[in-house]
Amino acid sequence: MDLTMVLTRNPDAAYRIYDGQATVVLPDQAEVNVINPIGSLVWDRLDGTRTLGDILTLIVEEFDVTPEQARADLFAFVDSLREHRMVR
Amino acid sequence: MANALEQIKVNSWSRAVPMAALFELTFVCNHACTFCYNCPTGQKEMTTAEAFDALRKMAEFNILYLTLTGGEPLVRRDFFEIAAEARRLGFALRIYTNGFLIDEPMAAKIKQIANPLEIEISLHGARPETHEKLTCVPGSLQKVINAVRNLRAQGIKVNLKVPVTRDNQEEVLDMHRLAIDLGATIVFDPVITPRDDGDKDPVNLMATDDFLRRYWTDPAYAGARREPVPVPRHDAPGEAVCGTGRTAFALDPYGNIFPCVQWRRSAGNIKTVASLRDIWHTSPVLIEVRRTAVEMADKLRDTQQAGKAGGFCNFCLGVADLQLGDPKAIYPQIQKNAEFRQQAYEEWKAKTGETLEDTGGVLSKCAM
Repeated sequence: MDLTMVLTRNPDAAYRIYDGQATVVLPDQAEVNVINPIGSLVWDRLDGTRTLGDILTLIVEEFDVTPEQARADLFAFVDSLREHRMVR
Repeated sequence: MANALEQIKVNSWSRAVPMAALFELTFVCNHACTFCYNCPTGQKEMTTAEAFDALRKMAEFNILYLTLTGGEPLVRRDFFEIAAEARRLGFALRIYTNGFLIDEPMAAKIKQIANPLEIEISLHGARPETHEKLTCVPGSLQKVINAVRNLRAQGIKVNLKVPVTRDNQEEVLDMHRLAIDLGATIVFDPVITPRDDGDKDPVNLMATDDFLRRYWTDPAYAGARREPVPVPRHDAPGEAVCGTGRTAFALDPYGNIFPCVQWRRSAGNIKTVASLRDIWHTSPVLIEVRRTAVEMADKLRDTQQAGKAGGFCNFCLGVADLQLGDPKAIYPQIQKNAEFRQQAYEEWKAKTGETLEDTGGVLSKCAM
């Protein structure tokens, strides 16, 4: 995974934001995934137009976190989304 | 993640933030079920453009779960246009149908265009003569079976829904086995409701007392029940008896907005409101139903404390209002079911020495 990657939410995923948390439902999965507010900011921007680098910049601007930590967290989060087939 | 979801649901209840809606696309149907609750008024049903506008307003109102139903929703020529628009707007879809039109190509189209979380199909018997006595359509049971197979072949989850009547009560176990064989889930509802216009004729089809006692107390039916052991309600003071006008709402083909599918008190019309936010917290109807739902939970708790079966009621304010003219009146169907549910719980408690608190069990509330 690298910061030039452009990912997009699984088009089958239905979601809404409640209390700042994305509540995501996929038709072929039994469970509903609720993403925490920082993750939801990322999720909302995985729209097929932004690179992970663009999203990393946003996180560093919005939250009190070092670029290194933000990058590690972003990659771990995106890995988890891919594992759950929530992004492509 | 599960805890976060539970908290979101709790907030939805406590703040009356709806997450779900039920959209009756049409009252037209290709069946003539003897106990159907729909009562078409002859008004003009929503056009495609109006349905799209309703979907947009519901999406803007942050509704996640949307059930497309009828009547029979698949008879609408524009059904797939509406389903596609609903999907584009990010709803998690369910479709409630009689399954009659779902052949292989239709199942593939449903998967491709609607890609629902689940299809719910009405089932009225395990034998053709039983199912068709209630639907009044020859061949309709085989159509349901074919529909389930076609949908399962597409990987679509299917849930069969059975209103239990005295005509099909002796086939409950066979229907349960049929569902398992077909790879579907099945839900039995032993409470038959009046028609939306107040006609109580369908209630005469209610299952017999003898069957209801067996259904709730006989271990042979444990697999068929949603609750293997019926448990009493756990409503805390100030909590509502159900999610009417709170966690969900219903929309009929004319655009009327109801607190739920069963309680047909119009809170407004989606064609004329600019935004659902304009009415959700200010509609006198919705304010009243929410208050009534809380008062009813208090009433049931009081009857439970008095040693009566009230705490075992899966109570529906809409049915009570329709049938008895009082949303807080205990109607006979619910009273009977509650008595047998309580009996089953007491027998289980005596046998196991456990109590509700031991199992952590809670009664799931109707939130549509």
